Formats: sequence, C-alpha cells, structure tokens
Amino acid sequence: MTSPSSSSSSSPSSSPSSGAATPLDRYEVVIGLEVHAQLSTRSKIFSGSSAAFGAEPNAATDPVCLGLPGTLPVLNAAAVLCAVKLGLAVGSHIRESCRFTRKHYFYPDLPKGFQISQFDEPICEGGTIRFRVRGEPRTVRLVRIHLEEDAGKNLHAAAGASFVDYNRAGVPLCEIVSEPDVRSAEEAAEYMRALRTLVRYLGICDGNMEEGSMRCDANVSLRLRGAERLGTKAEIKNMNSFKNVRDAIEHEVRRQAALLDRGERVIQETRLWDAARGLSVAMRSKEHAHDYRYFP
Amino acid sequence: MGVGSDAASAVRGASIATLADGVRAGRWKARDLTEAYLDRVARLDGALGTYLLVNGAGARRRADEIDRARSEGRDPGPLAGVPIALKDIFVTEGIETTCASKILRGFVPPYESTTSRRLAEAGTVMLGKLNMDEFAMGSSTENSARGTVKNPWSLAHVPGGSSGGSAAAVAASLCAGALGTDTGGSIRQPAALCGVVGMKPTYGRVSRHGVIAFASSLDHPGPFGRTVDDVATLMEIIAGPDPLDSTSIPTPIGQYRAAVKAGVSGMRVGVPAEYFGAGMDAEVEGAVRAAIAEVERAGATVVPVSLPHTRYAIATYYLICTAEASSNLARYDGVRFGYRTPEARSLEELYTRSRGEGFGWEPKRRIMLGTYVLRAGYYEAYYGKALKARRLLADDFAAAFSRCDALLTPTSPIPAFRFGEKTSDPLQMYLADVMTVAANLAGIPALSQCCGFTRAGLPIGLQVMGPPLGEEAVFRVAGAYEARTEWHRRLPEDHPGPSASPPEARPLRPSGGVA
Amino acid sequence: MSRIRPEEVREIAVLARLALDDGEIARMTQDLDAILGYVAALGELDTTATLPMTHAVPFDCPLRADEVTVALPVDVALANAPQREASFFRVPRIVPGPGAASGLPAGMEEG
Repeated sequence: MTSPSSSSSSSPSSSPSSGAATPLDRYEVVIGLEVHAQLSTRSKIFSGSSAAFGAEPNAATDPVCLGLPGTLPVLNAAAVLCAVKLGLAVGSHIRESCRFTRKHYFYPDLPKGFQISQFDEPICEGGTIRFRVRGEPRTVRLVRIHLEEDAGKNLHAAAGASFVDYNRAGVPLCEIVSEPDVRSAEEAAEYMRALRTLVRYLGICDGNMEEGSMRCDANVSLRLRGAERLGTKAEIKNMNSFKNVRDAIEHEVRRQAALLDRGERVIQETRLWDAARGLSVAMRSKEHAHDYRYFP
Repeated sequence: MGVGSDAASAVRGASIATLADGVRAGRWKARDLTEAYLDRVARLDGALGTYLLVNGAGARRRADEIDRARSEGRDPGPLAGVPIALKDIFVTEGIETTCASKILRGFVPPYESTTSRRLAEAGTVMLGKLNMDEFAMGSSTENSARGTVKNPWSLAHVPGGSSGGSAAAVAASLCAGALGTDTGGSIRQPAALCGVVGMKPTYGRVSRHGVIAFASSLDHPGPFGRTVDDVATLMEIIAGPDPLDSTSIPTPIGQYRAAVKAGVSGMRVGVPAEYFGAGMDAEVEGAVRAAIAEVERAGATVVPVSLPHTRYAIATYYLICTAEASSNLARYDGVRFGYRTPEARSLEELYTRSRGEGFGWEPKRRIMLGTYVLRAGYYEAYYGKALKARRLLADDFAAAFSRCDALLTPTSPIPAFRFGEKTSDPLQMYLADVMTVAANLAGIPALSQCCGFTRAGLPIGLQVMGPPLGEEAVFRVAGAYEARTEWHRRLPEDHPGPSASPPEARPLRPSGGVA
Repeated sequence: MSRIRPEEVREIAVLARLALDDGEIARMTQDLDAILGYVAALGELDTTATLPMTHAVPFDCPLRADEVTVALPVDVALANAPQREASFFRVPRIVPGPGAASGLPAGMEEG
C-alpha cells in the first residue's frame, strides 16, 4: 500500500526537480520524537524472569510475563531508579506519585491483551536534551518520560503462520517523548545520538538501535514558513539506525512537500520505513483501532 | 481399603476444629478422614454437582505423607489431615483449573496460588476443585459451563453464587472447609443460601496471587466453614502479607480465633435502615431482626445508622466490575493457553471465534458492557462517575463506623430461589446482590452466618460487616451470636445420587496441543 | 428510548474481539440497553466535589529487588499452547499493517 508520491521519490539521494527551490525554503519541518529505551535491568519490570537479550525463544519467561491467569505484576525497583536517573539527568520534574495504566489492544505479542504503561501520571514530566548539530547548540524540550513494559516478538513465516516468542515481554522500557522542537532530519539523528550517549553514560540502556534496545518513532509535519499552526503529522516507525532516522525523515519531508505543493492534504497516518526500498508504506488502520480504553 | 467407621460417621457435620484436634490426638489418621470425605463425594455429589474435579490420588498421597510425618514425630502443621476443597478459580499447580469455563478447559497451571499453598503447608488435604459461576460472574452458579450445583437443603433451589460449589460442599459435608472468592457477594450470598459461614476479608488481607482475576479492585478470596471458629481458623492460615500481590496489606494479621470467643459487651452494632424494607422476604426480615435482638441480649448496644447511597451500589458495582472484567478477560485469546477455535482462517478469527465460542453469555455480556464504558468519550459518564459513587459509598461506611463497631444486616433479601427463576432478565439476577456489593466497593470485611430457616426449610443468612481491617470486630459479633444459637448444627439430608461420581483429576501433565 | 443501537454493539464486539451472530447482536443490544438504563441512575448523584476511588484500601506500590528469580523451562512455558512449533507459540499469520484491525503500538513490530 505504497502511496504514489513516495514511490516517485524512492531514492534518498535523488535531487528535487531542477529549477525549483528545495522544500525547506517554503516549509518549516516540525518533528517530535518518541524513543523507547529498553532498560538494562537484570529482571523484567513486573516479574522475576531475566530481561537479558539473546536467550533461546521462550526460555526467559515466567507466568506473569506470559499473562497466565491469576498472575499479578510486582514492580522492579531498578526500573524505577533508571527512570528517575534519566529524569534527573535531563532536568525533568519527578512526580512524587505516579500511576500505571492499562492500554488495551489485541495482538499476539501482548500476552494480557493490555500493556501496563503510564498515561496521565507519568513518572517524569518535562526536561530538556541539549546537543549540537554541526557545532551549533540545540535544545529539545521533553514532554514526559514514563515506564512501561515491552511486548514479545512475532516472527512471520511464509506458510500462513506466525510464531511468537515472549522473552521480550515484560522487559522494562522508558518512553521518552519530546516536544515537536526538532527542525530537520539531521537534527533528529543528532538528538538520537545524544540520547544514546546519555543512556549509556547513565548505565540504564545500551542504546543499540540495531538490536532494538533503543527505538525511535518520529512525528513529522510541515507548515509554511512563518505559519503558527502545526500541519497534519504522519508517524514514521521502524527506523532502526541513526542513518535510517535521517533518511526516513528526509523522505517524509519530500513526500509531504510534494503533496502540499499539489494542493493535496497530508493524511494523519502511521507509516513504516522500509530501508531496503528507501520508502515508507502507509499502515491502514480502522478508525476505532486506536481506542486503547486506558484505565488505571 | 475400608473406611474406618469412626471416621465415616464423624465427618458429617464435623468442624475443622474437631477434625484437626482429632488427628493431633491420634484419634483418626489423615488417610481415614480423606477416605471418609472421598466416599461421601462419590456417593452424594452426583446429586449435588459441587465438584468439577476430584483430586483422589493426590489427596490420598498427601494424607499418607501427613500420617507418616506424624508417626515420625514431625509436625505436619496446625490443620494436619483436614480435608478442604477449592473453588476452581484458585490456580493449582499441575491440576486443571478452569473457572467453570470452556475457554480454560485443559488449562494446567505451572504454579500454585499463595492461598492454596498456605493451606497445604498447614497440613490440609486438598480434595478437589469446586464448581462456580463461569469466571465468578453470577449469583446462582447457573452460569457454570460445566453443570449446575444444587442446594443441599433443596435440590430444586440454587445454592447461590458464584461460589455455589464451595458453599454447598461445606453444607453437605463433602469437605470440612473450602475457599471461594467474593467480588460482589460471591462468598457471603451462597453461604447464606446454604446455611454455612462464609467470609469476605478486608481487601488485600488475603493474597490474590493465583486467584484468576474477574475484577481486580473487587476480588476477595476467603474461607467457608461450618462454624465461625472454623472460618477464623482458616483466616489465620491464609491471611497476611504476600510479596507476590502488590495490593496485599503489609501489616500482620489479627487474633481471629480469640476474637470469636471474646464476646460483644461494650460493642455498638449498627443497623442500617436502607438494608431493610421493600423487596425483602418477610421470613428473612423476621429472622434477621430476631438475630439482632439476640446480639443485643449478648451485651451489644444496637444503634440505628444510615448508609444513604445504598441504592446506587448495584449500578456502581456493575460499571466498575464489568470495566475491570473486560480488561482482565482480554488475555483469553486462544494464543497461549485454553480453548482455541478449531478453524481460524486468520488471526482475527482466532480471536473472535475462540472468545465467542469459549465464553458463556454472562462473561460476554459483561465484557461488552465493560468495553463500552471504557470507550473514549464514555469513560467519564459511566466508569468515571462510578468511581466517584464508589467513594461516596465508602464514605457512608466510614461515617457509620464512627458511630458503631460493626453492622448487622441480612445477607440476601430472599432465601434460595428456584432454578430458572431469575435467568430471563439480567437485572433481576444483579439485584440479588443488593446487600453484599457495597462491602466489596468499600473493601470492608463482611461475614455471613446462618440465623434461621424459612418454613420451607431454606437457610437465612445474617451479615456482619466491620471497618477496614476490622475482622476482629466481625468475629466477635459473629462468634457471640453463634454461641447463643443452634442454627449451625442443623444439617441437610444426604441425597444419594446417581452412581456416576465427579471426574477424577488427570495425571499431572498438561494437555497442551502440538502443532 | 434506546440507549444503544445494534450498530454500536457490533463495533464493541469488534473492539472486544467477540464473534456474535445476528441473533446474539439483537439479544446483546436488548440486554445492554436494559442495564444501561438501570445504571443511568448514577446521573442523579452530585459528584462535582468527589474524587474518583479506584482502590478501596489505599496502598503504596511496593517495589521488588532486581533479581532473576524464575526461569520456566521452555516446555513448561509452552505446555498449555494450543499450537506450538519448535520453541514458539504458533498462530495464523499476522499481517502487519494493512488489514490488521489492531493498531501497532509504538516500536513493536518485528519484520
């Protein structure tokens, strides 16, 4: 389900049509980043099986992370400590009391049919990430940092079946949500580098994007330079390296600019980055699919 | 392998205290008691349907271990040799646990619930798993996907629910004591309808680890027994902090058995006006008022109180419990355990058909209602509103307990009803919980004990409620009342049934399929 | 006056992943309508000054030490699997993206 505009600009290195100004002359790029950092605790966030990477499939599980009937979560102190360290390092307000929420959806890698996350009372609020882009200092403000549990992994075979491994289910995650302060693909990549350095320095996460211990989703929108209102954003997922973050966002900027130039609207949707083909693919999701029915 | 005739005749109507003392004194072997109960189950449960699964081999093995330990001078625990049974909502390692639902048929847990483990460590012998309303949703055990349970006092009448199997099994002496769960009255109401004692502790006083969840903020595991002292005895074993349950209360438990004997002089008991009146059976009201008078004669001062928000309790309960149930039952999806539909052509069909075919109507209805009230846009109007109403109900109790130490009410406005009488209209069945749900919403301890019988011979229940962590006050009142009455000594007739006895536990292997 | 229509009941059945045939949708609509009518009585309560109560008995969330305390053998983890293949739970093919009625959560898809 490739949108026509993305296939026409499929190669990241193709130059815009000759004679025309680049999109960035007309449009300001507004990017917000959501990063999931897998915390390097020994055990899982709500149960006592190992959180280490690389075990044989389904060899690092327990009744709680499998979501077996009658099991109950018990919070890992080290996960809380990691989130607090991160919050202190970036100058967040650490809430005196925070709350876990259930986020409901059905997917095979989600054993309980809900993810334990934090919705309206996250552990950290605010904060800033400071870094440099080609020597120039930049500041990106954070909205929040919260704790949640990771899901398992689905592997897809050709023969009409998928296979599920729950080793990763229940591994603690910090979700770090930025304000839409990032202004270019290059800046986004540098932000990610800065975050990686930070979490490694704090010893809370090994920051390995290729292995999935640090993941990035980008919300990208354009607006005419000088405009105040934000444009419609699209969410880009599946960027598993700094290069992919940069390439995918650059691609998205060109895609949206082309739409807007033609007088068309950007659709609010989620798109998956396909690094091999250098383009993004829209996920079609039904309107009610995102009713997570949060409750405490 | 004969059953010692002394044990056989002793077990009918025997209390846990009598049995435990007898084993300790060497009067009975644990094996003899186990055989006596298993014999009764084999002969009588065909007519009653209380057991879903009998743990014959396991129980005999355990009883033999206990006898061996005693003969070697070791102490097998304070309740050594006492046979008990568990509502099939308690996860038992290596033994099928189904919640009386098709969707959990064949589920063999790899771990044990804290509560059943504590009972086992105290030396009890686990006879089997007891029938219930599916996923604890119901007030008559008519919602079991695995057959109904009959009230031992009258086979045409329901035993109550959702712990109907537990209440009936204790009433019929098919076990000496049992565990159940109470989310909206599911221990107290069947206890009342079956003429036994049942207690819902303070929320968090007894661990929920290994109790299959229906509504997480309302579920309370608790004991059934023949006498108040038996229930206090079981409470002393099962209650207490558990690091595996984050909502378990961290403070040590009280002296419950001592409270049973402590009497009520100096205590004030409140009688809330809202728990009497229209809709109540006249015989129930008469028996309960007589019981209150008896408690007063025992030395308590009776104080009229008001719980003004009582009439909103059912609505509040059904919004909160269904929202929580829709969440807790989301894990039953045919992926990792339990029932999977045989022909799923897609992942979507795997979910919708497994759940559609595996759940009975009542769980589906509650899941639907719960999903609806948690929808974005409806949350505040329904669920959010109910959470506020919950606080108002809890505040009512707090205000009442500033003026009294315990409350006395009927447990159920009516005695046991007939099968099919309340199944056509959902609200009719829900309204049967009107006297019990508020205690779940407020998390306060509450107990039901027998206070009389109708002219038709059906038991009537008296409910004693206390403030949070006020189990001792509840036991004082209940113990004093029981000491002055004989209701707890009445036994239902034995009903020899069809020769088919309940199914034996399978050998200790799960029945998971292989691709 | 009905509080819920069959179309909405169908939507909820999809959200809740429950297969209900037409007869069941009709019956469920009736049941839910009756119950919603009953619980509407809560609207009589003035709760403007009332805080919601999610747990009856307040508690501080206890923390546990970060130690590995359990590792189920693979066969035990898979023991109740309706379908397994090697060390995995087996399900019908998950189609990521288009057609998936469940939205993907952030960063969760593996290719």
